[in-house]
Amino acid sequence: MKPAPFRYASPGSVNEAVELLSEHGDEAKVLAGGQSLVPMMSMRLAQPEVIVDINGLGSLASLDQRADGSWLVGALVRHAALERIAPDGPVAALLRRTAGEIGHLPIRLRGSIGGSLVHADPAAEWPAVVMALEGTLVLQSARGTRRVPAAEFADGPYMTAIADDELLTGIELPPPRPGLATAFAEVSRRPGDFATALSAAALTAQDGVVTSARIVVGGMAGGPVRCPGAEDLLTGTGVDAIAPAAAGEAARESCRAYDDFHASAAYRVSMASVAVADAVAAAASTLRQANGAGR
Amino acid sequence: MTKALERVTVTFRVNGTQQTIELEARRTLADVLRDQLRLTGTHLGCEHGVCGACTVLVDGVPVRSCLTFAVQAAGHDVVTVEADDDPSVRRARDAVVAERGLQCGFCTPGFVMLLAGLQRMGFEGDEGDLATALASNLCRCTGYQGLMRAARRLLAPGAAGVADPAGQEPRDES
Amino acid sequence: MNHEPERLGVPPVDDVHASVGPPARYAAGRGCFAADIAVPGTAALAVVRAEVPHGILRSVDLDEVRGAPGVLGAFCAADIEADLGSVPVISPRISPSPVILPYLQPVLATERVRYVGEPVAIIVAADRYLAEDAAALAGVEIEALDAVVDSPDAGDGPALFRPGNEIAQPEMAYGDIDAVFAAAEIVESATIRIGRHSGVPMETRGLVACPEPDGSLTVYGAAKVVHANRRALAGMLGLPLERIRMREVDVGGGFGIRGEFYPEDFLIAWAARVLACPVGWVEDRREHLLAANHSRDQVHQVSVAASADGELLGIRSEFFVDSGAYVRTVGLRVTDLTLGEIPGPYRFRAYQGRAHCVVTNRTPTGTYRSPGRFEASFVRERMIDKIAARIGISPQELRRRNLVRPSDMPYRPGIQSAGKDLTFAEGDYPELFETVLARTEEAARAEAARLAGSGHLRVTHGAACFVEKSGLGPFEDAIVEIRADGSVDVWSGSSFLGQGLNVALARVAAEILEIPAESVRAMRVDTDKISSGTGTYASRSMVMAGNAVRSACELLVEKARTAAGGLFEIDPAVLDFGAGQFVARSAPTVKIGLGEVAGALAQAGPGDERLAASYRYEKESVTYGFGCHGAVVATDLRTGAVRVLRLVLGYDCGRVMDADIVVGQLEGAAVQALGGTLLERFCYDESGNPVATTFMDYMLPTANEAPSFEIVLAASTPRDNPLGVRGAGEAGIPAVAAAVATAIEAAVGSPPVLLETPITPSRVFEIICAARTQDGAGSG
Repeated sequence: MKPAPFRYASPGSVNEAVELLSEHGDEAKVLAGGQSLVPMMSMRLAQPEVIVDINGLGSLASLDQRADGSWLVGALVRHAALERIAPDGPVAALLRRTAGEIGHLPIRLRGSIGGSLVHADPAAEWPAVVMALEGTLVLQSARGTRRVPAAEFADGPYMTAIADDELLTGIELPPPRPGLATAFAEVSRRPGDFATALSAAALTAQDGVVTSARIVVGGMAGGPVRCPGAEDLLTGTGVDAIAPAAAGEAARESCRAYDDFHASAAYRVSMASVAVADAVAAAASTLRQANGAGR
Repeated sequence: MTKALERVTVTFRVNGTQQTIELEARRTLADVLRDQLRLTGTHLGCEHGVCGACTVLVDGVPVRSCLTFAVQAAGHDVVTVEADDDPSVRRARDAVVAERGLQCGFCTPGFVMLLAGLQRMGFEGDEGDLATALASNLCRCTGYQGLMRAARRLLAPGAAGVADPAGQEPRDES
Repeated sequence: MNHEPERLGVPPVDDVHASVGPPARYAAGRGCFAADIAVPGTAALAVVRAEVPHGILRSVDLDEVRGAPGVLGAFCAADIEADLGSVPVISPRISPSPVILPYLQPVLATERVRYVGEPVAIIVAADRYLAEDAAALAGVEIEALDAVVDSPDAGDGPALFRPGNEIAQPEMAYGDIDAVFAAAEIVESATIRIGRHSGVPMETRGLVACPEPDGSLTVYGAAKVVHANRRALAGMLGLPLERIRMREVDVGGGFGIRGEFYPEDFLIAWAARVLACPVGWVEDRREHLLAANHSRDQVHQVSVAASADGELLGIRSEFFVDSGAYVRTVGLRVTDLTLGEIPGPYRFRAYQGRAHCVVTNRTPTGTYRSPGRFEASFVRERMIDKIAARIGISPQELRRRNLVRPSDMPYRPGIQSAGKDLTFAEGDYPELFETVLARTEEAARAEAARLAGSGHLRVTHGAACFVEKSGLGPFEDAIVEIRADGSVDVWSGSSFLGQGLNVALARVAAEILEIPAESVRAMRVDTDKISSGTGTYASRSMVMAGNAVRSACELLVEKARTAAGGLFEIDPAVLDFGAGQFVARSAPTVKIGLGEVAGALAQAGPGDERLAASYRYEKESVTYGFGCHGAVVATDLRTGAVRVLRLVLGYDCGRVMDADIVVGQLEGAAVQALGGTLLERFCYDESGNPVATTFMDYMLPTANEAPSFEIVLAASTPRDNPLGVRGAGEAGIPAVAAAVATAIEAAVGSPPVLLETPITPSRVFEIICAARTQDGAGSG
């Protein structure tokens, strides 16, 4: 299983990188961690003419929390770096919690959050998490920069809104609202496997009552999906009255899956409700602790 | 304007020695180590990043060399299972042999390098963490029992302080 | 001289071609597997394979391929026919019934392709990258036909071969099955399905064929049945046997599926001769999952008859065995072994097995570790659980009441398996069963206590029984030679696949010759050094090679004694042997070591006299041993996820030559069995296309899935071989699946309904929901 021939470029700056993408268009593929791309190339499922290796672009590997509490996560930040982030605050906690679920250590050391978002495997973790955190993807090209909200970026299995000449440079995460609690849960065949179903939850509470809920499910047929049924159930509930199982049940109606080799549609949807229940339970626990501490 | 080229010249260190090779950009690090440098200890078990038999250290951390183009190693430090002078590799080898963590020996270099890398990274963990760390690689012969024993020996909490097992006689099964 | 080892890259000669060496060599990356051989000038071969499951091969156009960079040659079936007069088919190595002849595989597809992965053409190029580039240019035109996708449907689908899709209907029976069923108070029936999976060693297949200056051919990379493969290749190439030398190198696991003669075994050798240069081939993983033997894949319609008070009376099964697209070198052996194992270690009064061996448009199947016994044991043990549930006693009590007992022995129900009478002659089956059961229950209590408080995890256990066979004849050869320095070289026809046979044989030799095991080198098969032998499969080698080595050593001592007498002018009759040396009874200070004798012999004679002895150990019987597997399992009642926490593996292996080897074999086999029980499946879509073609989809157990083990070894002495051993290579396989299934059902509170492997979380979740619905309905 050897890759087909390609031409290789290792740009020294983001500008050079987007120039290359501009020149080669859909004949070029960006090489970040390579943990998803290179297997496809070895199997000759992907045969790009040009590889643009962005691993030399150190500016894309920074992970910064800004003064206003927002985060800029460089596209090249490796899963392993996010796994080690100090869990200060609900955003960092979610990033850290999620990163450890991805594959195995050697994969996490190379694979990047940007690569995962652009590859857009329906069972990937980051697309759901970035959606739950109301993230914005920063796309650069020779034509300029555009920002796309996470909800509009994912466009189906392995499809995103990125254009051929664009490079994902970073993900902006807004400052956490006061009273925000986040959680992540995944059901998979073996630890590290692609998810059968996963859920990222972001619950905000004020004065012991849930004021907003974002429940995102991944692993279903398309990209990640919001679960308004579960969100409506949770909004307005007292933190002590949150019923995770009921939220899980309410999430079912938003989940569409197909029978495939790994799981039946019915099983996937049931596991989505389990993942939602677990994520909601974990977030609720955080909210209750905060609530208790606040009194 | 950066040019995209089919052939490249790559310079990197392998087991402490500088190597400069002119090659096709598509050649993987695993194939270059094996074919150009004749370091055949790094094995290919799947070529899609699941089995870990191809694990080497790049800048001290374990990496699947089948998923790395050799050109990406330019300017970096690669250590393979043949690194006789590397203490973490020697400790890992000795632990795997002493704990009977191999039968056919094919997956063994990958596990040795995984364990060497985990040591270098200062990894420590309980039983579950060790099993999860070893789950990076596949073995088909042993059922993992000896490999877990080797991992405990090297990476259980406090293990890093234990005297170098290279000083002890490994079991010789000739 | 021909390709001497110094022309091979890595590592030093003695290490590879002499002994297997200590494990430290592998840990230091100094193995020499087929892909590591570096004969200068070796070209790389790639195989162009069919990408549809069934079709008429209209044309193979290699013109563009031949013009591609670095290509030395490209060939299809027509080229082979032009060279040899016909396209060889691969003959069976065993079980050569005439009915299989129409179903044998040509080395390259001729008018039809019958499975995805079937070799259609070969390309030889400067390296593998270039060969794959060229392969993309091959014009293979196939007119697709409907595919036969599942074995029970084989009769309804298009015929893959002129005689039809049903190859044969082997049967096995004893007792009056109809009478037993007619009179029985209890009859339970079920359809039980064992999913397709296989050995999947970590090293893929690989071969290097080197044409020699003298016109002979050396092949590296053969394993398992080297001598048989040599004969097969010689026949297919039209060469005398002596013109082919096969040399085994390091082998990355066999498990029954590596080493059989595949199309590539011919193709690489033929290409090397045609191109007059060394040709090497290393299979990639995708190829391996498509083209190396699959296994298991059976569907049973089974019924068991019993009395209301728990006596097992009769068992019968009509079943389909999926041979895949062709019949491979093992013929119908898997079916025969399945038939022989269905009644297992129980005192059924009557038995009837009726098999349908069929072809389908899937990868051909062969023997994989414990062939027939994984399948038959799952079927039988599940039915025992069903009968127990029906009667209202515990399945373990039912087993207890019906196991063959010492008082029943020799137990000879009147069937044959592998051509030999099924005889259980030694061992206390109930005792080992009780021990394993007790240890399993204890382990379950400990794990349940440890996990108490994990609300949704339920810890339960199960146990199931089997008989394993080993020591299959008909013969094995061994040669033992003493060198002047006192070290000993041992050759046998058996292969070192990584299972530790080299160590075990060294111990046997060391024991007879009374020298340290470190002085013994067990040598890899080299047909120049040992020109006949049978091979390593069916857990035969400890028995067969072990006893051959033992007898060769005894002969060697006598030869040495006679030689010593002649060389040192002492009456051999007064030379006593002990601790590796002869002592003159009348003059005890006179000690002559074996090495001394060898050295003196070499110097004294006119030629290059060696102190060596050979022995052919022959055996008619098959040695049976009883085993029992217990599983402690944690089932997640919310997700259906199953975690096997502990496995208790009980087996009566007779004498243990090396405890570490036996334990390693049992544990490794059991984890493979867990793979087949919970994870591994070769699946096909409705059109017959394979779905699991990478390790993303074909999931192997990792350290996370591995349980901890308890090994219980009984040691009744088999009377049929002087060493008193049974082979343990497969005894970790047979009853794991059934033990796990029983445990899961106990966790869920479900009757025995897990009748298919692999048991997926999806399926477990189904029975959890069903049990909940039942509860709900019950408590209305």
